[in-house]
Amino acid sequence: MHQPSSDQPLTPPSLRDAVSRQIEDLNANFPDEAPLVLAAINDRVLEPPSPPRENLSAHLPPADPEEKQAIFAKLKEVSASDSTQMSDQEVLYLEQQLADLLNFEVSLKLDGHQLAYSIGKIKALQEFKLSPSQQKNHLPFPESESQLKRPFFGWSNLAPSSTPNYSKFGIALPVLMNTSWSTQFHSLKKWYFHRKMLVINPIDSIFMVAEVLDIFHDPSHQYQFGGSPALIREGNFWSPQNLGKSIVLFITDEKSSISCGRVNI
Amino acid sequence: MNQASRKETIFDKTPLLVYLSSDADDYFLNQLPIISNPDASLLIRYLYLVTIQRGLASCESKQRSEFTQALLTSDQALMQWLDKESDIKSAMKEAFDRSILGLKEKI
Repeated sequence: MHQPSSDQPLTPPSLRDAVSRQIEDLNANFPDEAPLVLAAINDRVLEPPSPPRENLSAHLPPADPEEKQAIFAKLKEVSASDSTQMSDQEVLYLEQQLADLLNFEVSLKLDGHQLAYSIGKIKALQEFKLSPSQQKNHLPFPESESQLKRPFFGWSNLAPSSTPNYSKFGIALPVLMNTSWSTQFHSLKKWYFHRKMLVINPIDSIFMVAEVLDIFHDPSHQYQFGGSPALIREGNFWSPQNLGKSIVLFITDEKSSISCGRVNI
Repeated sequence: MNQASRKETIFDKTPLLVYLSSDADDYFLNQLPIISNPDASLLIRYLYLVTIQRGLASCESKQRSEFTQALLTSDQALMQWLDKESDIKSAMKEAFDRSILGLKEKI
């Protein structure tokens, strides 16, 4: 565990480096607890070192409207194809343009992981049940039903009442389709649980950040992803124009500084 | 905002750090509120990371989920849990003191 060294002044940016080293240590030494600990700390610290995504747009030059429209048009074009994956050129273009537009990195592959589908239709699911004792009044939409079954990833250690937004925007992914699933399911489960994803409504140009809470499998192959009621509702995936069309990408969020919810462009 | 009210605001959500600080050494509690706010939050984040990691390292495997659950609930819940687990509390206090010692020399 790192302690402040005597030959290094512990003032920003070296304090910032010390924080980064502590986060690396935490992830390495306690991989199961690290995401929960970071979420708890983020909840307490008044001003995180990196401003939350929603506030960043105020410090950035306004995006060129023409560039924005070009990105939106590309997303529509990509989603209109019959393919469930993008070409290398499309991936390169969108990863770069979306990073500039959203001010955080997105990618088709992360740490050697890739989804079987990056383009598909998202199905409206019931609320994800995160704890066997979860009460309806802890749910974002108490009128909706919660999943009766235990999630594939297991119960979450999070207390829904203390972190109401943490599980509001959940997504279920087709992780079972990964070729390495049968041999690496244990590590894959750990890697995917609570992973932040960018879920795009390409028709209405709405960008949502959601966290992975379960595995999705549709034997009919009509749908490729599943979303919580809040994700479907706020992302407008339910609309007759969209009909569930979605593009899903990984988000690089090492410091857990990106909040779930709609990204303001 | 005067120093007293800033102090109250900064520690409003982080009573665990007050709990871990030594009664005899109030340097941290008095000094932090007058450091500029972004730096103070970076220090708080650093101190949480150091002390929580030490706490986790001191837990037996079955205690880790209790520790994490208490942390996720609130600082007060973790403080109540630590009151019953004095060895872990002592380890966290030691980690806190060592960090403060380093900070004192450098800031």
